[in-house]
Amino acid sequence: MNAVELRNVTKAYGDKVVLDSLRLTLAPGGRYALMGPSGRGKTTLLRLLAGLESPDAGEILGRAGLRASMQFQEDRLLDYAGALANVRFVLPRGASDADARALLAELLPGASLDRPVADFSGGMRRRVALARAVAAPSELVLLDEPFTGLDADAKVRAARAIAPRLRGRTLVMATHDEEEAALCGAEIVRI
Amino acid sequence: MRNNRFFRPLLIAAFWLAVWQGLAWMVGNAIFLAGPAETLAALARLVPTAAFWRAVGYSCARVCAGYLLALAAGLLLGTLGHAAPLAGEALSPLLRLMRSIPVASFVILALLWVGARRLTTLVVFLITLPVIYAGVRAGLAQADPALLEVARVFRVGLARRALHIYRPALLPHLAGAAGVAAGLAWKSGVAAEVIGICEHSIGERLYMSKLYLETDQLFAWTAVIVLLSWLSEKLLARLLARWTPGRKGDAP
Repeated sequence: MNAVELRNVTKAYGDKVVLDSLRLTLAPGGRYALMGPSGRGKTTLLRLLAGLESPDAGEILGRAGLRASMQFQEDRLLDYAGALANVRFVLPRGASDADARALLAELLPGASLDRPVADFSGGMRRRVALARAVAAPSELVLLDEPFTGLDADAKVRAARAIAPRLRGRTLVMATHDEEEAALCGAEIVRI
Repeated sequence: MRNNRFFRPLLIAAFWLAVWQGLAWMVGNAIFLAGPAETLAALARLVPTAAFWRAVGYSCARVCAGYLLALAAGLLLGTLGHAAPLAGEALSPLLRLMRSIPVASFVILALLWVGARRLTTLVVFLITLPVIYAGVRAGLAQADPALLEVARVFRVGLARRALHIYRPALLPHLAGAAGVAAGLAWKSGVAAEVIGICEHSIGERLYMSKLYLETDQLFAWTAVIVLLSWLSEKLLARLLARWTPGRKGDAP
């Protein structure tokens, strides 16, 4: 797996420049926490890394061929489906869902994995979205404010549950909270 | 509450039947307006005959064939129009034109093109296709862009996207369009049979009733058409409900 290198990446929406000549190198297997005030381009950077958008100027090297998985700022779940079915939706055809099941059991102890997620609380939905991003096979894991809506204990449990599954993968998370970055062992990158 | 739900429609139906019967008495001439009792009696005479079932079978087969062909073509063309905007733009004026052409014009053209035997199927197809196409386009356009982005990032295959993102968006619009189209199918199909005087069809029976001034039979056949149209809509709604996401075993 190569490093991903952002060279002078610029992105604007209309007149508003959200990323201005950003330079950043993401080492393979590294963990990074993007921090900065709202509107400074954390989500935009994650979207660029996910391949959902292209930079207006500059380039992103080493991204081609990498599989990405992403937890979006919104949960973006299939509301009618259960927690496990939501994770299974992004797994390759024929892939085992045993690890997804185990991860969900750690993140949502006691919850029915077949109950439609529309009936879940905000915190439970957030954890399903987190499980989906972590359980999907990918080299690049992008998490946009992964612990929103979770209390302190749930954050620690979630970070512990995902830690072994992030080994060897590059993690880029956006957060406003240094403690969350520390929980994931991520290096803080201020943008 | 349950009793209310059961009795209220019955009371409403009874009220309108009474209005109809009252009007029939006021007119006092069954050739102009047959009452519900005369219509029911005519229906009772028709139902046991082989000719009745032959006409019902003939029209059902042709209306259903035209409708199902339109459903298949509408799904195919609607998907094509959604996936390839240029194809959508090219199809749009043609289908809009088809919506505004009168049924009678279609019937006369179809008589010239395919003759009386295939007339009903072709007319039903031409009348219902634009309605179904519009429903498919509207439904697919409602697919959640946020979920489509999820599918893009995770490289979810087309079949899964279709089943779990497009289908839930499509079904409510398709159900609405398919219901409207089912009603239109019977109206236009029988109109075509009347104009084309298709042998052994419901339309032909209607035409004959008018020709021999058998207004009670005209009303009886009309009741049969209304019943068939209602049954088609119910059957369709039930089938579409089976595809609605959320049923057991439906999850990814």
